[in-house]
Amino acid sequence: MFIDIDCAQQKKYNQNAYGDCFLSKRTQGRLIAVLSDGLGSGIKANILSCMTAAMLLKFLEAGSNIQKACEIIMNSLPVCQVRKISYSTFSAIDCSSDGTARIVEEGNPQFIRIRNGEVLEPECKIIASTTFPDRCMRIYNIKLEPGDRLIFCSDGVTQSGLGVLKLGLRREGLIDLIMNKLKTKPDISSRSLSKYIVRCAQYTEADKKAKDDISAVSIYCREPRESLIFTGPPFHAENDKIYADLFKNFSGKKAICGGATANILSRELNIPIENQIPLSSDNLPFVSQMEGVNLVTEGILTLTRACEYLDAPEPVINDNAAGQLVKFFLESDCINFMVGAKLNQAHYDPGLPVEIEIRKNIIKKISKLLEEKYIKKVTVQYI
Amino acid sequence: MNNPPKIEVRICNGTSCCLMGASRLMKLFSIIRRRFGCKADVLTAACLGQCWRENNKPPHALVGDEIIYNATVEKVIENLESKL
Amino acid sequence: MKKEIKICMGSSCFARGNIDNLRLIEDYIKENNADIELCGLRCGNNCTKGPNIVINGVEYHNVTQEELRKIPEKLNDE
Repeated sequence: MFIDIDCAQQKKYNQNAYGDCFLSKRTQGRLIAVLSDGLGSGIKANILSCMTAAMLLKFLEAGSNIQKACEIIMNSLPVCQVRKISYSTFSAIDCSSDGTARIVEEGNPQFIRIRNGEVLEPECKIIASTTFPDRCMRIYNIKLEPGDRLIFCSDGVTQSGLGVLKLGLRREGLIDLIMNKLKTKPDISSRSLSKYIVRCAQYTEADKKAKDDISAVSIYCREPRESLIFTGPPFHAENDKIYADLFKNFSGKKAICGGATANILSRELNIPIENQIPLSSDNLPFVSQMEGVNLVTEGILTLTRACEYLDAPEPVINDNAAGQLVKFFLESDCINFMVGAKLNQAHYDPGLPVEIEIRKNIIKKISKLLEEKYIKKVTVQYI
Repeated sequence: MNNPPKIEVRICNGTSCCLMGASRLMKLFSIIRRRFGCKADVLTAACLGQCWRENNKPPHALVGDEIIYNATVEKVIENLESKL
Repeated sequence: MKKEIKICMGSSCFARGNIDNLRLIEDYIKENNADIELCGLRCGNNCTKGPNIVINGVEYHNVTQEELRKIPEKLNDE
């Protein structure tokens, strides 16, 4: 079972910084994530929420018991003298690969749990703060199963639309929104669902401007969408056969990044490479077609551009080879790279107009981005 | 009477070739179709495998079964005409 | 005159009591089939005096649940 998690955010309309902070990591077979809402908005709120989220995540990463870690934070978060509430809120989840999850909330709207089209209201334990009266946190122990969804949000979502809707969107309105979406798209990814929620919350406002920082986190327990990417010829030619076997035995999406690599697989598997009439390319080589392969592109140049696209504030998905490769990555949960270590001397010819990145390095960069920014599961094997 | 098989012209789309001007060869698509439409076909190739040799001089094109090094539109047309 | 309750839903008031006050008011309206217009307000920068609720145009501060039970009287005062 794979835990597909993503967060979408929108800043308050007149601010330069996000006042909510979301951090997440896969570590030791677990998924940990924190959403914090900083008091007020702008830079101050950004600092408060980032600090809270970072501290909590570090605790969880180090293996701290989530209840203990949250109690420490809850008991030490200072109170604003004017507003008389703590400097930030938090929601944290620690989930193992078998679906056992512990969730702690302090100050954020209660999370929503959906199974088989129904909202489940799990029981919680309330733990009061030992240092601040009126402050307490809710703890839940649940077991997630394939198909389960969890949605966390900051109050920017539940309170959107105040003025248009009498009492704002509210948790009830959010539930309706999500349930309606799931009816038409029951397999919607966390990325798409969280974006959808944020967009809806923002558009609930009369002038479509976010009146508070809006953050929505979606968790979806699914069968992982696996993918395999071959790039580069194996260092020893006798291992070409291994590529062929891997290809045959893998059930999931497949991509090939590299002309020579494509030639090897084409020869070993007896699959011809079709080349269509070239369309617009943005200075990148075109994609080719091979039966049974979802995407065939050139190697280094395309990978380098795809890396830039992934690193952009919003990932770039377009019609060129790199854009299509980015789409391929983002529509997968578990991405497996099979990297051939054979170097092509021609790539390092000083006569070339640009400097070509070493394949291993570009794959490292891409893996890091996919893991840290897009919270994918990535494996890299060299051959 | 059967028509003789069309000669295939393949333009290499590999990394080195792209950097060394394969895009300039894309004009061949329209030129060859216009002038030799029924006798020749133009396609791209994922990799013609030539860059793995020493002194290979990209960009590369394949006309029939002959590789053209340092390919230009003129060279390819000349070679194609000589084969027709 | 239409009876109106406006309740502040800013982070401070909401966290310090209005989240429960809201439920109480809603329950009251439902149970008594009361004809009261209820809507939420964004933070009015009166956090030190909160939780804040406006009833028929009159501002009430530090509204506790105890105070809230007197709401029906306040509404009918008009």
